[in-house]
Amino acid sequence: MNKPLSRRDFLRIAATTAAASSIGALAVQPVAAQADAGAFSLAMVDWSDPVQTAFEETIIPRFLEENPGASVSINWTNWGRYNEEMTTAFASGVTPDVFQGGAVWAPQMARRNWAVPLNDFINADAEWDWADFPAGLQADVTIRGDIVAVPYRQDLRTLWYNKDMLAEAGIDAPPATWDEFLAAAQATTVRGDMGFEVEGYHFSDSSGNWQRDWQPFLMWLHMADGQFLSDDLTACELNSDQAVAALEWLVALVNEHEVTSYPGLEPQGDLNVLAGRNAAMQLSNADMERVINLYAPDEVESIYPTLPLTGAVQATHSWVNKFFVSSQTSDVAASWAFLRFLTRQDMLEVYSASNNNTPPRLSLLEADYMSDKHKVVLESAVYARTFPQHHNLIALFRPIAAELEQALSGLKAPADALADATAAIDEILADD
Amino acid sequence: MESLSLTRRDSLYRLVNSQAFVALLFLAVPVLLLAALKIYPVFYNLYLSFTRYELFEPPRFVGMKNYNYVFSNTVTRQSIINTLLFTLEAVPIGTALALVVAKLLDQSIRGRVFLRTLYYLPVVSSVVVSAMIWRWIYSPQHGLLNYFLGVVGIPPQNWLNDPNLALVSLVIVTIWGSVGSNMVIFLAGLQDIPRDVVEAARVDGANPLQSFLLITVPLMRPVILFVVVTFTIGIFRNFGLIFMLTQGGPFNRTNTMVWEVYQNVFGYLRLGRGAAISVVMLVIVLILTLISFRVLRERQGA
Repeated sequence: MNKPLSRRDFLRIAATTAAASSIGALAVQPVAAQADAGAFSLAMVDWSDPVQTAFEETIIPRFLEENPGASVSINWTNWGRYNEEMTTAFASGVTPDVFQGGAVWAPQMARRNWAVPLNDFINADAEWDWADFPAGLQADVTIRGDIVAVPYRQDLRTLWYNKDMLAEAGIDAPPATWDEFLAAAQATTVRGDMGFEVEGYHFSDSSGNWQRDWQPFLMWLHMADGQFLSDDLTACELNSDQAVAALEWLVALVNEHEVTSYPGLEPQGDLNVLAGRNAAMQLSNADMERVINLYAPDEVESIYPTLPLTGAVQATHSWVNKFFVSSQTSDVAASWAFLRFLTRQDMLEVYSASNNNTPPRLSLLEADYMSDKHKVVLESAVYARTFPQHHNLIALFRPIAAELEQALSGLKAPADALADATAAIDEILADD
Repeated sequence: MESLSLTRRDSLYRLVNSQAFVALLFLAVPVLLLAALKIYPVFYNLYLSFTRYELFEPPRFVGMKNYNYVFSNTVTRQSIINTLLFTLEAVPIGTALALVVAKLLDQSIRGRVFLRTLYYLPVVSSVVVSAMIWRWIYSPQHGLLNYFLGVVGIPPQNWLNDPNLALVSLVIVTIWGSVGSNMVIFLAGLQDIPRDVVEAARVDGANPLQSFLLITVPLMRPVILFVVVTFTIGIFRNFGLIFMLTQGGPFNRTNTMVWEVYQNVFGYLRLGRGAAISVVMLVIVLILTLISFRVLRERQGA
């Protein structure tokens, strides 16, 4: 009675099953974030071996110890693909409960309603102490009254210099003003037959990164007391006298005084240009200290940070990185509790110490890992400005990046380049 | 009534049991996948190109505004020119080089298999790895290329940062990465050329170059057409190298259409504009393909 399965029957069953599976697969709806009070997902972009070790060996085990039965899954990624990953995650409804974001993310996330406002949680939680975060950092994550993120790191940049190279050139103290800076840069620049051997000042690398000039320019713009956008965010202010003065100064450093090459000298792998003794001065963050300790120990006693230079004003820029709670999380309160844990003083200390990051909490100024050099970097916070809170900053940066290339290459007068950038940016703002 | 019902059941049985039905079932799977993953996205992309869509709110119809942007914005316009330049530089040179290499490796020479493997190696390397290697080769201060130039007294060049050299540098990497795969296609095509035709030409006094140009190349036209079309499409889709090496710079000289799509979609979340640029890309690829067909087919018929 049992008829054996013929080849044709088998093929028919196989084909029917495959067709049904395909149709079923196509009909699957995006799965919403699955977090509940006990299962947390976290997206980390600040990926380095020490940070990963700190999370996997200290921070997450401590969280699990304090929250028995909970579980945490971490997705480690890097800046190169993070934006795409998070954009597609939100589009498909599968975001992690808590995620890291960069310096320009707060207004973006607020505009897209992708971040949960945290005011109620923060205001109800005196023990966690929001006041421990400097006012400037609080302002950076507060969009139209909503606190949309919590800072985990401030990327403060100031002037780093090679004390020995300056001393050999007869300069005993680090520069404090633009004029002193120029004198030091001129005294330390060394040019050979094949171009620069030592840049008195290293402006930017010759990397294929379209933001390579824009980021250091921003600090000179602040020193000239200029700003990128008007306070109401409706107009570009790069055609101001201050901005033109900043760019003229930079163009002169490249073309007239010839103290920096453009495009700049290359880093040698992990060894940046200052640490590699191919430059005497550079604007950088506390990562410089980590790099020197790790890759150029001979330079530990030579390279130091000093406070930001004074042009029209004493100023620098701070990139504030932050944690967000996703609007797609299934349990906002639980996700907040997780974020709260991650940004608690003791956990931020573990995290910041792992990679020599500058902490966002005032109470960590005297943390054990904070070296004297790092404290100087942190002192720069007083002079730091942050990005304007426009939701489309990446698009706005592009025209200025292109025009900076033109001006620094001597193909366009600084005033013309900035006027063109302003026009292009105003066009984007008008269309927005 | 019963016999009618039996007839229906019989015909249903015959239908289900027929080879055609089984074949259709098998075909249904790839057709459905093709429809879902290729055809639907193309039409959805076309629809998006007429909207303003930023993911966090529903698409809003804006008519031709995105297309207007594509042709009026200087950066986007330059991306079209760059892409065409990239194609015009890479496709003829890359195709000719692959054909010559294939012809040389079609001879009975010592180490032929090794050389074929060597030429094919870049194809199996990931774009990221290739880009890292070439970044080092092109490095202005520490690069291999500048080192060799220095040996013969030529000053170092800023390959990836000089606006006059950046696109050419990418073209070189692209050709390097594609010669192997195109060579394999040409090698397959060369096997189909009748040996007696080549030998007859030789008897008539044709030298190897004449034989190659007057016998091999004309007979290889269908294969050349295939390589030209697929290579052109590959260049329009060339994203990894630009991402890794130049990010569209310097001076937007390597800013190609696919990079502009990426910037608009993931950088600015302007999906409508990205969709419009990709539709224009599609149209340009179609036109270039038609031109290739026309040129190579006409000559084939001549």
